[in-house]
Amino acid sequence: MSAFFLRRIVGAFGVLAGVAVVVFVVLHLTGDPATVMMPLESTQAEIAAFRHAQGFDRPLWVQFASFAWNGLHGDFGLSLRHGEPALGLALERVPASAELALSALALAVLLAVPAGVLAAVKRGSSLDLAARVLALLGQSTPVYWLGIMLILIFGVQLGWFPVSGIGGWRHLVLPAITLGAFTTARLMRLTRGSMLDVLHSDYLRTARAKGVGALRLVWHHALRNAWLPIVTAIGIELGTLLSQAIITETIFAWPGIGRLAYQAVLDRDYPVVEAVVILGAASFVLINLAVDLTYAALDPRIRYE
Amino acid sequence: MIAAAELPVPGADAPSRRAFVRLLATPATLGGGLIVALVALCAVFAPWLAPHDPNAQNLALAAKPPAWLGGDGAYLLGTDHLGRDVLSRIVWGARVATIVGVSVVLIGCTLGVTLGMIAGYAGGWLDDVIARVADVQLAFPFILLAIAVVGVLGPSLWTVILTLGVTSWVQYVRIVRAETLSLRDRDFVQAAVAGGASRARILRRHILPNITSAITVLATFEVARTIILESALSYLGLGVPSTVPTWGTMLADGRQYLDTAWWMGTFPGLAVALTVLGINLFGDGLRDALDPRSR
Amino acid sequence: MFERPLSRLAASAFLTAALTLGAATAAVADSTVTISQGVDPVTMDPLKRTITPTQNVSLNMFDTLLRHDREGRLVPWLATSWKQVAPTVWEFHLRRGVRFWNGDPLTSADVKFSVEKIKDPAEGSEQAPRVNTIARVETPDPYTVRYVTFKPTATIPGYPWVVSIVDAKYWRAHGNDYQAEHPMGSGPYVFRSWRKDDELDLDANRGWWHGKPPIDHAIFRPIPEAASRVAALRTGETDLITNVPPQYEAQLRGGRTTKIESARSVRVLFVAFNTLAPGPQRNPLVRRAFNYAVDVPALIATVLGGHAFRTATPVPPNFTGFSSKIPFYQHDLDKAKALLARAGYPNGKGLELVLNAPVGRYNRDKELAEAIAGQLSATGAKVTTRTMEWTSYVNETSRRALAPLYMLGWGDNSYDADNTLTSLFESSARLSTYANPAYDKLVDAARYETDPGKRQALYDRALTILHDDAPWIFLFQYEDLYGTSQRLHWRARADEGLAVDEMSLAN
Repeated sequence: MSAFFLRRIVGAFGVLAGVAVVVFVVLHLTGDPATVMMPLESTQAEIAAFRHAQGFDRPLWVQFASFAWNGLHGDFGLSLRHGEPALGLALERVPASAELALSALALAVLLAVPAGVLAAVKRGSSLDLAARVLALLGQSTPVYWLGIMLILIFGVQLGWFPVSGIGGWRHLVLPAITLGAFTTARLMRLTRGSMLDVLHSDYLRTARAKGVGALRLVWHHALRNAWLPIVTAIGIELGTLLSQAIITETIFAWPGIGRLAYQAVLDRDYPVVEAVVILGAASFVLINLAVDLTYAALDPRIRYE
Repeated sequence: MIAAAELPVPGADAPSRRAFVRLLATPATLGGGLIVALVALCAVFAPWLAPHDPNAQNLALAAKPPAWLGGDGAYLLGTDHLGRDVLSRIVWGARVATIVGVSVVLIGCTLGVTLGMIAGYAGGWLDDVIARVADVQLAFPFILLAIAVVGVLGPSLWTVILTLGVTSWVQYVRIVRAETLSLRDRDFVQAAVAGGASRARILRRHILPNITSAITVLATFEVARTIILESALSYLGLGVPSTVPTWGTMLADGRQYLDTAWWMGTFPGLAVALTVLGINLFGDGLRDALDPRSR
Repeated sequence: MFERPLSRLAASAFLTAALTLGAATAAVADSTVTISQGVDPVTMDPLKRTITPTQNVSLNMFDTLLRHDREGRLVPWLATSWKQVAPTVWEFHLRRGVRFWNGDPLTSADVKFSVEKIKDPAEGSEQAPRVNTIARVETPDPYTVRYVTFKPTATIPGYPWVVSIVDAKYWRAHGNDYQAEHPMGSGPYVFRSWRKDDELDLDANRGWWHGKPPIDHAIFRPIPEAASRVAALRTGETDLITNVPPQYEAQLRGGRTTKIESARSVRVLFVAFNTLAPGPQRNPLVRRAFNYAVDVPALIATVLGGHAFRTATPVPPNFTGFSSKIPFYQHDLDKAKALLARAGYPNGKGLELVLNAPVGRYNRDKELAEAIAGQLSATGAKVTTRTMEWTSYVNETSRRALAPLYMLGWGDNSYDADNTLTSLFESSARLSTYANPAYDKLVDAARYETDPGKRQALYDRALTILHDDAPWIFLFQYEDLYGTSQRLHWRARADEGLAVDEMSLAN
């Protein structure tokens, strides 16, 4: 068990290191930040001065070493755009993104799991088909499209909800639905599939033969065995949600980290991009680690790979 | 991410030919297949099926509603903001969707399945490395990668395909790895090992055929996902240059006209939704037919 | 205290008066205006960046030496008068009694500090190009400032209508980084709080030297997506939105609570020919042909809903140096084809060109590029578009790698032809893809020519060369569309500035 644990930890660090290298290389591949940051009418001399002030004229390996060393201390430098510490800028926005992502996830789970269970139990019925079609629509509608439609219908026409910004719970509704639609659809299909597996298993057939009532059968016996892959998927979906949030945050003017990241990438604001990517990768790695370890703790077979 | 629960059990006895066809021929699956066939038809025969040249601009006829809603009779689904025929662009868009979908799946599938099989079969440090590389890929923001590729290669259809392909392979790795793992210790595989077969041979002749059903289902879902991602890229300004009509670009352009010229974005949106629906219904049906437990 | 009956009476009288007055003041609610631009300001430091949304906040918190009125005329602001006292010396006299929000008096030392801060290469300020003609700043007394320039200049150096004047004492006490979130200005609105990407709150400066501004509070709330911005205006969540795409105009004009304001922008859009790269665009016949092929009025009418003004020159009409004598290339497809035939491309045969354009940088940039490519293709040539997002585009622009045609916008708020005509066309200029020694001589001479008549003559000749040689397909000057709520009284400015002190709310 401890060997497994150790391998996973080492692997996690490996991933972070890998991400750091990739983000550094990719950023420098995408062009010269000095040219992008300075206004069009700047002279070569002014651009060179900016480049020197930011240290972009040092040899690449020196820049990487400095980035890695400082990064380990949590220092990603000052944002080229804002002039403030990059990591601070990223961390400031995490609460807003977390609020949105968790709301979307909660919505998804509350809708998807019961729907998936029902669809599995009533397999082949029109209810099942309806649920599957709705789920497929949820998976095939682009996020920005859904967002704008919701704004137009529920915000402008009906006036039920505010259309932008962060505020009370009413500001959360439309963005959460937009962000959560895709996840709801996925989770519903997953729950349905998982439940189908369990419902046809020997274990359940035995229980049914023993005369256990239908409702208890479903909720108590079936779901208890089906929940593990569902929970795993939820953990992984969290990671996807955070990256999908970029478009939702833009549409709804939500002050989250997705919007910061997108703007920073467009600006070639190296320090902020690096900070956000590393932060995101660290969360992703931590979540996966937690999920892996939980899985291993609950299912002994996995430990002995 | 697809979980193992959505896929057929690997290596189980394949259903008989007749049973397979019978299971496949459910209304839902047939409907899905019909839609996919229609899209493929549009893709192949676009030049003959499209009523107008998709790039022919006519500024005087910009943003006209569909013919049946009071617009010009020649434009069945209306025109876009530059006077181009929406219907023709949708038909031609099927071509791009198919090319992108198929290419991305081919790239992703080949890479993902190969690496997944190696990871699952070899185990040990190789497995760890591949899994970690996949993690690096997953942890890396898609947009940054897209901008990098566009910045280096310039915007084009192939840039989009490359970007999507590179991010697609990770979707296969986990599943293929898990499936390979469970197959590795089975009798027929162990027999081959004992018989002295090389690892490559075992992977090719014993493992691969038994996971094809899982891969096929995965691939169909991936096509759908690819179409959606292409649309997201277009929204962010990183997509295909617009002389090539794609559903994604049409959707992205149309979003600013949702309340003034809704047909510009809604019909391509319907095209995407229907295609994804068709692919997934067909994929579901395929899975059910290949899964012995549903018999 | 209240032993004597008279003082008791006085006390109760005073109390009654105070309560009545208090009630009366409370009955008049504080007025607030909410403004939504596409992006949040990036910093509260006014000396670093040039990007408009950030500047729009700075101009409310800080004062400048001069200001433009709506018609573009320079009016005294912090400087009550100015004069060129020597060929290289410009002198400004400062208004007395101006104070920063913390009470510090505004003097010439603050002006000197602000300009030098921008000029300092270690600061990496984007505004450096604006003050690069100034060699040094002299402060003979606390209310006189002298800009000494390197060479004699015809125009006022240092963009004194955009350079914000900061509190030198405060800056030195707290350091550079502090300014990003804690500004200290003398302007009409005082900084209260800033939740990034969410909300920036400003309060009216009751002690402002120009008088207390009409609106009590200003809130800047950024909304990136255009459709969402329009929606927020319609629901009343915001009072003023910028960059309204033309197709929303009818809706907002006809809305119960909304209206449209517009102003001629200083921004000019064009398609340039990269004449430094090999290809057919080096042939002036081809360039003129393309100018005849593009139907600019149709473009403006359909793609921009009529919200642009055709220009025959790179310089917009209200700029010094503009010449109204330059003719338009009237749309004439036959003429275009004839010219192409003369150039060796009958019916456009053999001409295959790419038009590069950015996406989402300028209003309808992608759509315009597509439309233009379509119009050019009507000559028989094969013209396709190549679009990419802005920062990748800028990279290629700087390397002059965009060829043979590329679209660009130029928004210059100097109100003078020099910057535009040199930065874009002079052979040595970083961005120029045109090289003509005769032209260079003209604009160079014009730059240092102090006699206005002679200067204009030089520009007339330079602009004629540009018209005949056609290094551009000349397009138009944008009209900026703003959406406002009906209760907001405000007229838009050409330099895209949003000065809240120029706004008022109806009741």
